[in-house]
Amino acid sequence: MDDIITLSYGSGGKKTSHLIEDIILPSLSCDELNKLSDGAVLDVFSNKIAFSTDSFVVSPYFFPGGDIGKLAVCGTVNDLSVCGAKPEYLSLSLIIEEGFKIEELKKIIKSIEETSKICNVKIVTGDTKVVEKGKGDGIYINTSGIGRLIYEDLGKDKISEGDAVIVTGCIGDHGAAIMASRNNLVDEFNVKSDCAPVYELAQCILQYGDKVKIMRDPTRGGVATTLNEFVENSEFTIEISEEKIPINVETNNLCEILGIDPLYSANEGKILAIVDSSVAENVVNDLRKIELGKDAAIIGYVTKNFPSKVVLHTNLGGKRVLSKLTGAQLPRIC
Amino acid sequence: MKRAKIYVNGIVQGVGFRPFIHKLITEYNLKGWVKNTSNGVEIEVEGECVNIKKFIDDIDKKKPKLSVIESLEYSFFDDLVGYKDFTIIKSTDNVSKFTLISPDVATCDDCLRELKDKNDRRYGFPFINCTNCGPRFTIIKDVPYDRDKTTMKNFIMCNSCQKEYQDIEDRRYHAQPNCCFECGPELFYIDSHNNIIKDKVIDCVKQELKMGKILAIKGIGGFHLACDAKNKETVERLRLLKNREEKPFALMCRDLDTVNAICNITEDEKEFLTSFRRPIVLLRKKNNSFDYISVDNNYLGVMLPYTPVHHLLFDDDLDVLVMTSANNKDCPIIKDNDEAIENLDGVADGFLLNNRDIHIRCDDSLLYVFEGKEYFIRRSRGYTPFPIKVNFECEDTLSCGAEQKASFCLLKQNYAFLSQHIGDLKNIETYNHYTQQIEHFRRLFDINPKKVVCDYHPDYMSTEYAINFAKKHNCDIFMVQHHHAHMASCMADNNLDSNVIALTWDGTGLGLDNTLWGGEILYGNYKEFERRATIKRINLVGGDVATKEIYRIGYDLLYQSLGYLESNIIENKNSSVIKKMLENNINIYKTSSIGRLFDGVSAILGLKSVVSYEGQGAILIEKYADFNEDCNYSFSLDTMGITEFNWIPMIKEIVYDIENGVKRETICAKFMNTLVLFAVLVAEQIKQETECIDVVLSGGVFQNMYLLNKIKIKLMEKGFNVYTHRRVSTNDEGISLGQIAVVANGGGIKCV
Ligand SMILES: [Fe+3]
Ligand SMILES: [Mg+2]
Ligand SMILES: [Zn+2]
Ligand SMILES: [Zn+2]
Repeated sequence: MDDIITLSYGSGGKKTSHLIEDIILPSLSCDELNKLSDGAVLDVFSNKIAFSTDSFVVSPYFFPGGDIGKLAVCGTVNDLSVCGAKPEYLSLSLIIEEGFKIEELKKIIKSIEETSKICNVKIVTGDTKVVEKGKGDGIYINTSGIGRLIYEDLGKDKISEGDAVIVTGCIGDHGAAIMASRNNLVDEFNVKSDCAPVYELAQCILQYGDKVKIMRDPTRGGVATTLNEFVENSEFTIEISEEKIPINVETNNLCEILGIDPLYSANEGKILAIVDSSVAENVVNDLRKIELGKDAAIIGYVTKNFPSKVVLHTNLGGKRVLSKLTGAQLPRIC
Repeated sequence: MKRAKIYVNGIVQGVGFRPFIHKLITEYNLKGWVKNTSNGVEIEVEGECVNIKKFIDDIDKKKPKLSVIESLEYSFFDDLVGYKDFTIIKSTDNVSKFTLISPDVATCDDCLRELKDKNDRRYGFPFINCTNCGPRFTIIKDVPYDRDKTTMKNFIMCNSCQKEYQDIEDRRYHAQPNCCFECGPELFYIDSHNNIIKDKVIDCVKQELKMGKILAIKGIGGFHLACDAKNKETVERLRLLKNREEKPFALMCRDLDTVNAICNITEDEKEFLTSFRRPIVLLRKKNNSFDYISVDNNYLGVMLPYTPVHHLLFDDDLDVLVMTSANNKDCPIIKDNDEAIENLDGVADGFLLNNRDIHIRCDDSLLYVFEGKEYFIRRSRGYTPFPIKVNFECEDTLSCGAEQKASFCLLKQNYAFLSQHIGDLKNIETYNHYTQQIEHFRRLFDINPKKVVCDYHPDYMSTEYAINFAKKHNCDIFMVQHHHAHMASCMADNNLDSNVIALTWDGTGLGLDNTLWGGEILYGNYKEFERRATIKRINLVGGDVATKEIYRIGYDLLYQSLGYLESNIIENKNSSVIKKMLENNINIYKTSSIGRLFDGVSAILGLKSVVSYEGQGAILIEKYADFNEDCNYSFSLDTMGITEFNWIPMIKEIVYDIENGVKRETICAKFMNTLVLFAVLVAEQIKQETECIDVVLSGGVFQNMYLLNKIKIKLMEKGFNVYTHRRVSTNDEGISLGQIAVVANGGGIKCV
């Protein structure tokens, strides 16, 4: 219906789906792309690999808990990790705006160096472009990555009734931290981005082999949007309980005052996994032994009660639908 | 001897009209026939001329109470056919395929008399009913309406009941739910120790109520939670258990005298209280004794008993009960025994149940009586599923309503079938109820939509439903802007079709410019509209949360008006962050909503800073406003582009008044008078340009009786015709009718 791309096309919600499914996919359709997973699983010279790409535009580029460099490495590494791969190689592409401080660029590169070491990945190719002042927002980074596929039987089609939904830690921190630092609220709220590589967490979950159905990193659009992607066009429902969802007090306070639902707030170091309920408790216990997974929890289950919907059991006893939004959380109360 | 042909149009099918004519005819010794036609009933009779005339008079006078006669035409002929008897002819030609289904009808006087008559075979029978009363809509599973397709199917009529059922002279002729002690459903009570009591159930239940217990009582369209309204302690316990701090409870009174003791009632109100539809009527309190029932306003929601069980519950020591719908937070009203026992555990001390299933949920209707007519807050039991006859026609269409006060509407020919009260679709169980009801209505009335209509808000659950429905059934989909739908709803409600001036004032609805509207004055018709006036934007700090935490809106009004927040007017721990959000435009949504303006003023006045239910801020302003106050505050009209009501001068004066100790009764009235003046000025402007003098009022803000009355008075003084809602709710529940009206007349935005 729109003639132009508006900001809401980048929110990860319904409009993003429209952009991808109705504008991009029809021309570029192929089996690998059509799956729209975090990364493509490919057969390259008889080796199975996962291949993924991500662009990073974030303002400010230094925020509590990280910066755009760390984010650029983690983003692609995490996409590969949740595909069941071990990340090996990254490309790095920088688009820098005229006037950008070299001092800051150095800090970002330093952060890229440190993070890739932690993730055990090599940056093996790259590109830099500089654009005129006013034609970019400081710095944009793209990374693409290749990982060796270790576990390949993940997918929406594996989800079945009774499965448990696991999140590896507190939700919404990255989105909250960005909001706080963008709006000078860091003094009032001690929020920190969760930006971190999730490879170790993914491996921990994948020990359970075919009991693991699917994993995703709930970045843009948050937990609610990712859960919707799991069940859309399926006969399944995901029902989660508000009281079971781990969330940092400070993040929660900030979200309440700003009027943001943390379930739609971005994460950059979390995994949402759907696993067979028989192993769910064990998975969580194992995750909790890892520092990044100490707040892991089973937050809900797969049912067939309300096909294709994600439902939140609220603390007040209601059952609220968490739908994929069109863009921002537009007020709707009349 | 003459022959006469009589055509009766209106709602005359499926309401026992032909049996009625058959019975009536015997009184006048006439011969001939009666049959259903596509738009009513056709009768041909022969007999003495005076008899025919009396007969025609009686059709209107004695017509079945569910029928609505819109026209009754007849002509006399001299040539006779020579009929030997009177027959009901099977409908032949193009008779519309749908039959109307009756709403549920309160126990009639005849049944009531039998219920209390020791010698009657149904003395004290809790399920007594007849052709003129009893459950209908809520027990019907499918059409045509006969016992097999109702939840009475499992109860096989005994011989005595069967005889009544077959006797055309009997009051129970073809009364589908007919039953008695021998063959009907049974009442039983489960107490707090899980004892099942089947003997002297009513005595036992009354005892429990008198002891201050809270009981779940199965009614017609669902369960109520009931307790002795005069027992303040119990009522307060119910508030705690239901997590309902301040929202008013509905009352059920034994009889009119009891109502009279606690409320001032007019003759009109009496009529609606006692009507067979038995809505909850909002009545003016006589005194403060029931303030713990409804603390925020001057009204009490009162109804009279409408089932035999209700009638049996009352006596001299138990004459006012709290009767509030039993449901979980935002969920549909509970209707099944198991559902009640499971969900009300810990709330109800006991359960008064029976083994007749409720098939369809239907909440009590809630209304004011305004100018002798219904003024709905909620149109439901007693009204649904009766169609609303409209002044346009279209192929079968479905409109999906709004979201928080969801309803849907199905149009077939010129009948609009509006759903019962549904609730907030964000709740999945309510959403399921909504989708099931759409299917149920489509099957009952044989409606196959070719067009689907929804709101312009992309994230309403009803919009999502509409999109999926259109895909599945391959129909065209149209979006109608929220306030255009409000306007059209009031037009359709009053059968208008030329251009009108529309005051559409509500909470928020998404505007065509993708900002939030809510204080709009429109000019136009079903098909198109112009936005002629609005109000200066208010910042919703944090979006929807500001609707609950209304101090946020108060802050914004003060901040925009005074330029600073260092005011001791509203105090809150979040002040500094809110200020920052305002200054830096963090998660701020702009809205031109009058509903939100009420919230903000309410907060500034210190009436409420966080509301515990929707609309509480505005309700408090209405409560305090002094109707005799005629002054208003200053405001300016900015006329760059569309006319804009600038409330800054008003807010400044309100602050001044507060600081100078002016009574809130005065401030509240002056505030609303200012809005009235704004409306009148704009209406006059439009009138000058267009010569239009018809004004419609729609939107949730007009649930405010002070504002409604004053605006109507002031506009009429200026020569306007003012139309308000009378057949559908003025809030978003009425939106679905407007949506359908727009699209049936060629308006709306077609989506591809
Ligand atoms: Fe509205
Ligand atoms: Mg990605
Ligand atoms: Zn009766
Ligand atoms: Zn019987």
